[in-house]
Amino acid sequence: MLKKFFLIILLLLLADSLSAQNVLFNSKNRLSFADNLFCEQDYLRAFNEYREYLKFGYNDTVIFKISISLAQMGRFSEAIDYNKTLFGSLRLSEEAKFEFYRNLFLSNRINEFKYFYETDSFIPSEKEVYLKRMLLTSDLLSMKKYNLNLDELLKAFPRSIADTLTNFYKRLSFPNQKDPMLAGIYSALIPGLGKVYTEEYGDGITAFLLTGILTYLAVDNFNADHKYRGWLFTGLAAYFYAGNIYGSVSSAHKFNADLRLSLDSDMKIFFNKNNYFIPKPRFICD
Amino acid sequence: MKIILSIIFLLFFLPLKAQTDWERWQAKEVLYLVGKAEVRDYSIDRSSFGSTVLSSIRNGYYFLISDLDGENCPFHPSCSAFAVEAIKETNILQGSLIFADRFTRDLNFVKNPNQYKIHEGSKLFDPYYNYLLSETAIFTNNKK
Repeated sequence: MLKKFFLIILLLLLADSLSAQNVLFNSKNRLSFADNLFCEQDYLRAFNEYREYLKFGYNDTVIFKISISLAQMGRFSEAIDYNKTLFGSLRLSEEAKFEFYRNLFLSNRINEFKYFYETDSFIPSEKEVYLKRMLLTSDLLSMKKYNLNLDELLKAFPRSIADTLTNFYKRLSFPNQKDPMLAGIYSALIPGLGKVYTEEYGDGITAFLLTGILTYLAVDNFNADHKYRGWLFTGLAAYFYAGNIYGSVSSAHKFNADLRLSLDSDMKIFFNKNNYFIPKPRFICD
Repeated sequence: MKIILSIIFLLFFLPLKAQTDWERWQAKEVLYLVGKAEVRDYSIDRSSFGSTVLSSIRNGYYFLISDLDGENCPFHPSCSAFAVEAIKETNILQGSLIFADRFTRDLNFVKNPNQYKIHEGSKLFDPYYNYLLSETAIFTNNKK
């Protein structure tokens, strides 16, 4: 009798637990939980929940949100695949096409971007200005100065950033570079002068002092008839003199590379901070 | 009866087990110790005659001078490691010139902080590829 009683209690508890699970994991709850995760920017778990939700049925908004979650996680190739599935969607076709181009741009697949853009494929209506911006930004960030035209650049972006864009354009097209050959000649004439020319003043003075001291020691030892030490210091002086000429040339190269690196970093920070001057994806929560 | 009870137990066990999902999200332990800046290579490189001579000289310097004196070079890689690397990557003449330049820069007491990146252990990061006379090599390697 007692056994039967416990069995019934257990069965009742089991039934209750199972029914509770059904309520918890129904499609509506899954969707609202996934939306909540999406707004909390927990894109990995939102993506998993949306995928589970899709097992209940097709929903283009959910597919669109999956593509955004993937793009936000940097999984651009998968996001692009999801974008493509929405090209035939009635409501989200234009947005999906735009996201497709955005994901190509952000994943640096510029050749594909250009191919689709130039062959007039999947161009979202009323958003061509943003596609143009992406193309110009890509040329600017990859420092293709021969592809760029200042007027075209200023026309494509908002007027408020005209000064910044002009500054970037000038730094790219007319950089204040140092001539490596000249740096080498300067150092050959006066040791360390090439380094001063490339704005490494401390290194220039050190090179001058080092070569000067070694030359003085060589001359002094020859005068005192210490030939062995004289030749030793002559060799060392010549070695560091040649090293300084080489160093000045390489320092000019490094100076020029640093100019490019600093421009590259400034442009990346500027465009990234301003979201590349393209609108945020739809459904993203602020 | 026992079988039924076991089935019921298992059926209850599954939802209970499902609740332990949060365990996957436990935070990892973070180590705040500063890593050792340089791991020294004491091996003799037998790939060529030049490499054998070079690595022997480097080891001699390590055993007789550097290990006794301590890790004092302000740069990473240290001057000795830099010289070996530069000679291996270029040739004996260019590598020696690169080293002469590095040695001169090392003697400079007032180092320009904007000239170098800071490596772990507060060392100044100064790799050989910045001195290969190629703007593109410097740009691509530093952009990584």
